[in-house]
Amino acid sequence: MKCPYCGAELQENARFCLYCMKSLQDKQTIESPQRKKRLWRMVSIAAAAAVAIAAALFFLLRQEAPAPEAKAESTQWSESGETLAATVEPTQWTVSSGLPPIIDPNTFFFSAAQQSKRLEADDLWEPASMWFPDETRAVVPLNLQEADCQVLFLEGGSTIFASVTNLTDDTLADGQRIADCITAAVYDGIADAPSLQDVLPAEQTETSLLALLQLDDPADAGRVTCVARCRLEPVSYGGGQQYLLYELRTRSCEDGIYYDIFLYFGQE
Amino acid sequence: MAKDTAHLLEELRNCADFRSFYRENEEYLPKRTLAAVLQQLMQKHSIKKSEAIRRAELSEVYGYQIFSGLRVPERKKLLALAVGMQLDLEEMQTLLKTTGYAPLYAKNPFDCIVIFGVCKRLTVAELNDMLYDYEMETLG
Repeated sequence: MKCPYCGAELQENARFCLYCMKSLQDKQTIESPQRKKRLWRMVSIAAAAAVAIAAALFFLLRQEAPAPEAKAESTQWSESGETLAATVEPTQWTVSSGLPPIIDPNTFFFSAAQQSKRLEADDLWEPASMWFPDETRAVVPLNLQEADCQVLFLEGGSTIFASVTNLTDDTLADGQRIADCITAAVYDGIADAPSLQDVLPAEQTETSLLALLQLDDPADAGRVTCVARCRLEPVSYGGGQQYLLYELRTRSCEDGIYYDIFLYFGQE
Repeated sequence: MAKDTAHLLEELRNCADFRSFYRENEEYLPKRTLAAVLQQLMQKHSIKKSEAIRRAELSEVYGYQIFSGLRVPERKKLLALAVGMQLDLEEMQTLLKTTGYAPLYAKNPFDCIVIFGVCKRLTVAELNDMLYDYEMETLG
């Protein structure tokens, strides 16, 4: 081969010319820093514009979606998102215990919302978004991380179980406020009904609970331990007596201790 | 007239077609839930649920959940509840069999101790002491 610069005869696969010392390999194109900067700027602007357009479309479509219907004052309410449409007619409640229901789900829904306002607990849960996986079980969304709340209406509503579970040390007090709201909602309209607030410990922390159990190490609490229970005075209702039982349990898990609150409203 | 188990078993062995057997004998095959059977026993013995649960040394809410049919307990917990309800051996065996649990078997060491405890009207705590002494799992 010949050198493209000086014309000297070279070997076929020579990488540089022995005579003029010029390199014979492919020249690399090196982008100028300025050009690189301009390219990235254009890409950034394009990406930002795409995000802005997507956001605008999202808000536009969201505004155009019909707002959920307001809950009717009757026993029916319409489906909205995850809210389950449910119509529970009084005739569907067959009373097996011989007692009338303490409260039916529909009434509980309204009562819970009212009690939540009265007890200033609106920031903790959303009774207005209560939904029913089946006609006996109500699930109430909570604004407490990881916590769950369910209310079950059994034996024609004459027995009610409620639970506020997966509470932590930080959310235990809020969970107890929700339990208080549920109690107030269930007993709403019953004269001289007991208040859970009267018997709940003023302050319950992990330290005090461990002291109650006489444990030094939280891990010794075991998997499930009942740390507190109280029973309110029974109320006369429907020819019988109903009373409230409150239980607080702890669970030792790998990532810490969790608390579960259980409420029972029913016959002794 | 009720058919006893031996009679039903004999018919079942000899029947050619199960459907006809079931049709003829369905009334003798009760489908009762645990909660319903417990409720019946409570009424028979005039015991309050709270009393039975307390004597069974179970968590109260858990006990009420069993009575309401919300929870299906393991056999040991049901035995504890049955002891708390102060059932006799025959009632306990009927409870276990009709609700799908294994009846007490005298040749099984655990069951042997439970049978002894039931016959002697021991409490759950006393039974648990015996079970512990013989290095077995306790009730509840």
